[in-house]
Amino acid sequence: MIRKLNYTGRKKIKRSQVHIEIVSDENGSRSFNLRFSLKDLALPSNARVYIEAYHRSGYRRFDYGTIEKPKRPKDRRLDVIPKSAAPLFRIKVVDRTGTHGRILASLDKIRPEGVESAPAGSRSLLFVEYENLGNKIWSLDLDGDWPVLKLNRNAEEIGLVAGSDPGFLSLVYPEVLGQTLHRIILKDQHTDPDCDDDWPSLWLKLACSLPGVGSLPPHRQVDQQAWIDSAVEAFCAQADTLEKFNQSLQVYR
Amino acid sequence: MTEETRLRTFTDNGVDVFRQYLAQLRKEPATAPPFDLLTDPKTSTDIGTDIRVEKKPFQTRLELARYLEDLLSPSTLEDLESDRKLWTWLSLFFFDQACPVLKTGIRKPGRDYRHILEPGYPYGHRHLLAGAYMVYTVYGLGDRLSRLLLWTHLHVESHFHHQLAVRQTLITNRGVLEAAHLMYFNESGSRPKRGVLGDKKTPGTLLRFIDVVQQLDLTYDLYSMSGREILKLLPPEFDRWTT
Repeated sequence: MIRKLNYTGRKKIKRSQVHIEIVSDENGSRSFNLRFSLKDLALPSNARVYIEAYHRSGYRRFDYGTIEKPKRPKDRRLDVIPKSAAPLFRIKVVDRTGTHGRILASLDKIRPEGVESAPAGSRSLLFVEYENLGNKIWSLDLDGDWPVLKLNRNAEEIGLVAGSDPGFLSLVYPEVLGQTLHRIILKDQHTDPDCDDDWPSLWLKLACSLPGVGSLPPHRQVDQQAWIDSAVEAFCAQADTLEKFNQSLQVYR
Repeated sequence: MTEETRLRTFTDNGVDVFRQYLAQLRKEPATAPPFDLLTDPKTSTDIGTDIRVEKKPFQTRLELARYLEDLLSPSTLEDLESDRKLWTWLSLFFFDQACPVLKTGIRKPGRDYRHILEPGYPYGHRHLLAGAYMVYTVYGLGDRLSRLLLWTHLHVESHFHHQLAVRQTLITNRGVLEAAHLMYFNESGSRPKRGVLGDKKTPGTLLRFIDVVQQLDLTYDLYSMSGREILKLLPPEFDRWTT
């Protein structure tokens, strides 16, 4: 079981304390707005606040002043990040009074609330990005900072299809859930849904909450694979995938 | 094919045919590169710019990266860093350097992603040309800090590039890369010092540096630090390289 230890007394910022929204101007240039409230953490008034936006090769850092006097930077453009991608953010509160900047509190992998980051399927667990996938219609990327459903930007109406087509929903999303759980549990051996609020834990929580699934068997791979199968089945039952699939065939009748 | 030509890009078919060539090359390592694909309208197409690309020799990937920056940065090509067809076309254009004929008379292409760009993690940075361009231009490491990662011949990916460029938190952090450069690069020899590529259990190696930096990143705001400031945080096992 993977657990993350905090030996240095860093304070954990809750996700509910930070809200980021991505906005676009008339030219399609993106920037972000940030709201945060860290009062209950009792951080030093002179500690500095930084926001970092990142996606793959794109990284940009923004100085938000101090805890006592937050200052919104004028330039909050996300021009280093491709427009087709949903960036993630991290917030750091740093003590700059010593020789080295020590992190007093932080939160990573903050998902923005803007339109471009709107996830498909499970609303907060899966990002959507549009790429040239050759002849593939979709693929699942579990190697980045957050799970991403990649859709082929050359496929007609793919955004609409992925969000509402019953055939797509019934065929793709159960597979997404199965592949994701397989990666988390069997490959990465992450089995504790309460470990943190990173994406593996959130996906495990989702699976555990499905009707009749229960908690994950802690050891044997064969039991864990059976548990994944049961979670996918429960997801399908809850989402009425069979009904949706049959519905998608109406056009052939 | 002249030594200089107008920049073009592959079609999907061009990429497929080039991939077939790589497969063939693995079976028959003396197979000549299909340079005609570069101009055949069935496999390549014009990109609507006047950029002319020259088949010049590069001593290192850094030289190539400088050339690519001069060549491509003024252009208005969109999504350049993930343009699979363009980078694959360039790979074939420079194939005599990206996959040279060895002394034994054969070519060893290695995995497809070294020549056919697979954008993003985990293989995007491993494309021999796009990977160098990313380090130099996209991550903006420029001449000095790119040297540690791009000191090799065009057909060789250095361990430093392999280990550092794949980790987003490291490759985007100039302080960390400067620290690695200060410790591990031999300025007089224009190449990394010897003995830094041991395994994770060997004190002071690159892999230990990565481990230690990833731990320090949880405690310290490394993005605000210079390379020298980061060096001061390292445990004594790195003294051998810092003094």
